[in-house]
Amino acid sequence: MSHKTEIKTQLNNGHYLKQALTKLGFTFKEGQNLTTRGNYGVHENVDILVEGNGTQNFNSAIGFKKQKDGTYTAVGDFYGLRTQDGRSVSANMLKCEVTAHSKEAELNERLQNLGFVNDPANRKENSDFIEVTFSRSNTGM
Amino acid sequence: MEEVKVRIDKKTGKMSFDANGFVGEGCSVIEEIEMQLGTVTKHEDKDERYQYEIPVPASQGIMG
Repeated sequence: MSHKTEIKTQLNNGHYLKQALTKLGFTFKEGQNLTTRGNYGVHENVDILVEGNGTQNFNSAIGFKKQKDGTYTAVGDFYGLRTQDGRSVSANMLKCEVTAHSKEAELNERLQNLGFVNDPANRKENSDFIEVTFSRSNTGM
Repeated sequence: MEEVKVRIDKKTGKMSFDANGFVGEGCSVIEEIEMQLGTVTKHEDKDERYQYEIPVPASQGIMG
């Protein structure tokens, strides 16, 4: 039985997407000729193939495919996949988490270019949001 | 010391900025960050931003 799910994301930068996957503990590989397999045979060509999350082997069930408009779509068979803390991995949850962490990665890089320093002690995260604090030692407001 | 707090909403992916109590438009730090992120590419100042009172012409009656 097939459980194919496909969900569009706003992400258009593979560099930050990969940083987000790493931060979330996923292992993945990228390249050409990558295809999802999954436990129920959902075969989709992808640009980034998610292999697992450190504690669970995803059996190459899911991945990210770059669309013509430059954005990435998460695709594959999410059935039975679990996070490291035991929650089930849905397509929407993956989209939300990867999008937020990808934006945080972009924010870190771009604000460092403006001379801001990230304060990890003030970072907050829950199921709804990520809050990051940056500071810079000059004035100009 | 400039401090900027950024909140990323996981459901929508939207970011909101808070710079020393200033939220959204009207703060040069936030504008600088938005330009760097590419979320804003051009700022155009209008009177309303500074809350200037735009004079309203008084109507003139002709006393006859």
